[in-house]
Amino acid sequence: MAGEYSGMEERQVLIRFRNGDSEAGNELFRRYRDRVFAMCANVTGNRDLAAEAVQEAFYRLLRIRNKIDPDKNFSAFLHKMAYNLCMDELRRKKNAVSWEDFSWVEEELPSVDELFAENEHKIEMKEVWQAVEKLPLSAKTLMELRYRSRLSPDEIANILELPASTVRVRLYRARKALAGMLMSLLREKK
Amino acid sequence: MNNKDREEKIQLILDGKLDDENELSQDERRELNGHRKLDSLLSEAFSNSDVDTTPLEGFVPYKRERRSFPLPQLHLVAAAAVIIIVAAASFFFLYTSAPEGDGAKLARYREAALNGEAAPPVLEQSQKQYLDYLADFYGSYAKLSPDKLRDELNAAWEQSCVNAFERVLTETETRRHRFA
Repeated sequence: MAGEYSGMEERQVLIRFRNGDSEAGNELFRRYRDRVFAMCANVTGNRDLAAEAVQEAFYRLLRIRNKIDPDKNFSAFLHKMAYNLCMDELRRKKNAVSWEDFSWVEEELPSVDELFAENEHKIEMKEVWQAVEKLPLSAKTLMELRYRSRLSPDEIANILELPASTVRVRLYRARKALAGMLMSLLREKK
Repeated sequence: MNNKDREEKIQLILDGKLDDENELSQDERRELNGHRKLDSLLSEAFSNSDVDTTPLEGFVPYKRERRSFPLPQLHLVAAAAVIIIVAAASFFFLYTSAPEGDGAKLARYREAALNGEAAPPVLEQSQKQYLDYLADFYGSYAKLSPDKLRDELNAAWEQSCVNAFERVLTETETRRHRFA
């Protein structure tokens, strides 16, 4: 049954889901669980809170399934709903770590081309991940939304309630920050 | 062009939203190429990595829905609950609360009055309603006129109050003599 849905076009899955097909709902969960969870884990900085937000987002999705428009951007819609739930959770738990620290954006960052000038063909995935893990939560969240969830800067801007130009500049600088982390890691390795 | 404008422009070119690559300076073009390489490296890294979703294990949206109540069913449950509460309250007030509640109150007053513990209370609205109820009940049972029976019950009640009141007065007078 699940196999029947796994290769199905998203629009078809959404139409079936809207018509009350529970397996279509489970397929959407399978498709989006990881991406939405990764975003929530970065935004909340807490995996349990992230799991609660993801569960609540899917539960709400079930309740409003007959209002879902299969021709609209479902991914952005689901991410936005989960993001809002995370923010509600952070506001409720006042001592929770705020993910919205963008001070790194203003730092003097190295140029990305230096990284490749020094290390082309020497960068391994393991090192990329080590550098990603060292990024501030706000930069990691942008990376998750851009590279795992494959959302455009405009869609990310809508989710995070930021101007699209701000998101574009932050994505650019998040990569610069990552390049800086990678360079330090690779220099340490040498 | 300030830094932010330049950075946004490079991001726009990277996203394929702007076709101004030829207008970039040599430095900017080098920077763009560096971002392109890192962009594809990150795309590869994220698409080939699994997210550890351990806290989500066992969660299946539809199972949770069946355990709880989705909105349409919740409405039905809420409506049923309201009907049950209204029915129970009606039953309580019609058959339980009014006669028995007032009956218990009257019995307590009567007991207190007869024991001389307190002055007989003035008849309250609820007590009158109780007498009316008794009149209707016993009237229909004994085939007597409810009005007549009501008058008799009122008189009996008032008389018992008067008797009790007199007894309290007498007892008080006796005690006063005893301790004088």
